[in-house]
Amino acid sequence: MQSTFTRLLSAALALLAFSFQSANAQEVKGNPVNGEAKIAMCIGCHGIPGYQASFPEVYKVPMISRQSAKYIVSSLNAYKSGERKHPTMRSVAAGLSDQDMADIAAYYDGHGPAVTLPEQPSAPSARVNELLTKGACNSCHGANFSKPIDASYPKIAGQNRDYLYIALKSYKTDGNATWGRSNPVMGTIAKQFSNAELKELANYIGRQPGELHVVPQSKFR
Amino acid sequence: MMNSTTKTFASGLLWAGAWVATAAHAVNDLPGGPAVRQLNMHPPATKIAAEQHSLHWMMMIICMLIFVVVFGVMFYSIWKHRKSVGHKPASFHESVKVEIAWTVVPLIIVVIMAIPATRAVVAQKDTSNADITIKATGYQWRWGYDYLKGEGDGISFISSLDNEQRVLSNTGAKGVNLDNYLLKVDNPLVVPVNKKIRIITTSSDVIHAFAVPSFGIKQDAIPGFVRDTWFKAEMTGDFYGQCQELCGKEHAYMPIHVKVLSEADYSAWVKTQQTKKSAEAQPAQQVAQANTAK
Amino acid sequence: MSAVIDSHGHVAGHHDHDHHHAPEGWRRWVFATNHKDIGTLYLLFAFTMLIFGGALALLIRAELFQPGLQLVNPELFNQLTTMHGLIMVFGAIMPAFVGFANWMIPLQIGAPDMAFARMNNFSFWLMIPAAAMLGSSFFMPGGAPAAGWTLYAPLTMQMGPSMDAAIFALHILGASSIMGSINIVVTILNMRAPGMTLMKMPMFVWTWLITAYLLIAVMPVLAGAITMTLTDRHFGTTFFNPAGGGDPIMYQHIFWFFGHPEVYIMILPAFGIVSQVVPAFARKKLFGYASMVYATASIAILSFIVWAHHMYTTGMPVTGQLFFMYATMLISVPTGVKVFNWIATMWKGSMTFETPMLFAVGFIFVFTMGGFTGLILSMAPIDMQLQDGYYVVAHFHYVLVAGSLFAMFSGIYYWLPKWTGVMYVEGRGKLHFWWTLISFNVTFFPMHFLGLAGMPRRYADYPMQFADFNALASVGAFAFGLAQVYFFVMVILPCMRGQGEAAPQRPWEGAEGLEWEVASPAPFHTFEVPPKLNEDATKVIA
Repeated sequence: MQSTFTRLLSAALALLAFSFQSANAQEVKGNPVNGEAKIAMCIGCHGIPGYQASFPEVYKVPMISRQSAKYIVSSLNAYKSGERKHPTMRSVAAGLSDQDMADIAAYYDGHGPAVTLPEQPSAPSARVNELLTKGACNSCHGANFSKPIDASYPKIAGQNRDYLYIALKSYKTDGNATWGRSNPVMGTIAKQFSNAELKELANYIGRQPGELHVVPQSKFR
Repeated sequence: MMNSTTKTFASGLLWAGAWVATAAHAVNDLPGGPAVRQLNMHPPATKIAAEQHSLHWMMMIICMLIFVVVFGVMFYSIWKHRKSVGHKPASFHESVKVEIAWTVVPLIIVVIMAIPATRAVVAQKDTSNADITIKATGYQWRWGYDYLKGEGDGISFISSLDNEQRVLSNTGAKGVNLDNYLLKVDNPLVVPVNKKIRIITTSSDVIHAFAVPSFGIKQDAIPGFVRDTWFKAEMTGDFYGQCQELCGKEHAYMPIHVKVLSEADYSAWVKTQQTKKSAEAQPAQQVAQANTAK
Repeated sequence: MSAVIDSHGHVAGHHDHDHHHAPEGWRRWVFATNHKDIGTLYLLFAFTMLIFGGALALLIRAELFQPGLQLVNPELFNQLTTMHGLIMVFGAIMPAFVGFANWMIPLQIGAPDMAFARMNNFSFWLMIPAAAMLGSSFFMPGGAPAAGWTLYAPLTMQMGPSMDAAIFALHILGASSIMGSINIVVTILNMRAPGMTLMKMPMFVWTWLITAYLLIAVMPVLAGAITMTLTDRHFGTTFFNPAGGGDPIMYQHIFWFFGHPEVYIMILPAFGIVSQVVPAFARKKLFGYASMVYATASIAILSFIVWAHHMYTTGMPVTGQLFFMYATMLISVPTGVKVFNWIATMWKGSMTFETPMLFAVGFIFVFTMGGFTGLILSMAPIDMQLQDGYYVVAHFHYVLVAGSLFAMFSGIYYWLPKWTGVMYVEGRGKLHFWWTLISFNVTFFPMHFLGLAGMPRRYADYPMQFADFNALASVGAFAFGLAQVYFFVMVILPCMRGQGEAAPQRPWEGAEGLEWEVASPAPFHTFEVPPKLNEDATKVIA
């Protein structure tokens, strides 16, 4: 029979664990309606079809409409904290409070047409299949790369190919003061591959049917 | 045909007139920023800006004098040398002497104009021996300030347009009278008065331009490069500028607000910033440090 | 339509070439090799582009009428400003002057046509797909290019597929210009009637000769700049990307090395037109002909060494700023010489003020204002305040609209009787002039104040203190646009349809030049045999 103290302790620990778990989710609930008032800056790159980043490399900016809200929040926090190094995105995230991030993320989560995807992606070539197995991409991102096992992992199917390549490359970048991503999980995975292989992966995953969109703002008010 | 055209025209004018009447926004002048129906440059807050003012007045006066003389002659001729008053045409059509005269005289005038301008150009470019050096980084679409050298070094923050004003712009700003519309930021750039401030500009994406008309400065912020300019504010107060190089969708929404404080107030501000910094120990700060150390 | 087709050669006594069947219907226009027809095509195309570009401008001014976003979102606004600039420069002003060149150069030098008649046709028809590509770019994903007509890197790297379409269109337009210029140079140098030495050519021909050389020199430079942009965007080069060792400022250098001569390309033919009109209506020869030729040539040569006055704020060293400042200030000297020469032409003349003269005098007056603001802008310290603001916008609209466009109106009214055989209604021309002059000034004069007050350009929204002058400019803009619609409907269309008083061969008493030696309207073929000219090459003597 457990002593009162042990019971209290386990209850306290459970409560603590519970509160850590749900701290982000419970504390800040995103409101997409409020989010709409905060996205003027986002539209400037993410709301224009074909828009590209220009420095240091030219690549299409990632599509974020219909990306999962939790992932958007965690990305913004990564930019804010410096875990992801990207000066312009850092400047965006620096001015956003947790509530702002949640609102924006909630807005983009539901932004654009909902699409049902096939369960399985298209058959990869033997070469790409080898790379996919080595990276075990579907184990986190889902069989069709759009059903991540955790909401804070991104849907990547159909994402812009050049962006995927740049992102994968930046997980490999260590010790650069201005660029690179220091995510431990993705870092270990990406470092297994040469840049050419990352490009093949990016091309394959980017060509899969995906849920992600760019939804342009209406031209006229 | 003439009648209905005139009628349409007249009613169109009336319409336009009514429209114009409703257009007026009853705002006040913004000290350090634009004034209502402002005709000349901002009142100068630095010696360089004052120099620009006098240069401009000099140019205006010379140009207006030449304009009055030349077009006085032309309008006189239009009046006097008309066929309808019976003037018969002369037959002269060249004169080397006259051509030389009106080549040499403008040349001399232009050289005279160039002399004070040269002095001002050289003065504007001299960024040596600054008291404080601040890096202004243009982002899409806000400014980031990093204090690099001098009192306050290590302070680093992002300065964005107040989001409420951005939302206001979206709604068409109907019936609103804001003196600092599109000029209000969350974190203004703070500098002390009477100190030479060197602003280093760069960008992390496309070309922006850092400008504060009251100080007479404008410098492009170019990705991958550093440029610089300097100013020495001679009065305390708030001074405003806006991004001056097309940089994408939100080009109109990245203002610059410089707060010039007395030296004592500035030191106090620096202390609060540094206390805040050490209290938060933001990782972002470390990234900024690494950036500035580059 | 203009240029009556007359299958009987009209030079007295000659009946050769009279039995080739002049084409009719659509074939006449699609396969046109006649310089008059091609001139008409260019002018009508340019006017269409003027209206399209003007509509974009009115959308811009409608949005800027009040602070706040009422009509368009900022991305579309940037597309509007970009396309307004590109269409007006490459679609309206340049083709219009080429239209004038095509119509008038062979007539003025006594040549039967341009040297390369079929290449002439190709030069024109190339413009149509280019214009279609530019216009349709609004409907591409991401919309039209939104980086400003100057297309600065690295912002152009960020644009979607319409940027590539615009680059392609600009290449085509450049090729068209280069071919046209080669045609013009060869025609002028080789096909003048005997006795018309270079120093007896009409000024309009001189200005086009010099302009054509400028075009040949700088259009390839633009092609270089935009090709490098294209490869940076898609083929992994880093000409303008510092991360790869490139330099965004190099784009600006290359672009403005084209861009500055480009603006002189857009004004020199205007000077030429004014140099024809003023002597005609002052009934007095152009004062200082040789001086005018040398001044035009000096302006053209100097235009190559001033480009970086568009770049004073990029951070170039002091010596650079000083050099470009001095060189730019220097250009005002030959330009001033030209203004003085025009006024000396008027002086002690016997002037009448029909519409061509009104526009020519209006040009001299308002263009000079633009010239003065240019001189002010050339001073680097003042430019620090004014760069990329509305003072610059005011300046270039004064020189391009009150400059180039007014001169074009002057030329149109002057030569319309020759082109169509019909006199326009003088009262309507005068109304068009005053309406245009006043509304132009209402639109653009307040912009000087806005620029001095610090309002930046390419801004979809602005601090509220700028509201009043913006509202005024917008009202003026709409009035200005309406004036041009009036012009087309009440002046151009009736003349094109042949409705009006028949025009005499020489409707303007003081007009001199070989174009007035042929009938009005000019016959389809003129000067099929080189004419014999009088002493100063202004009249045909059998």
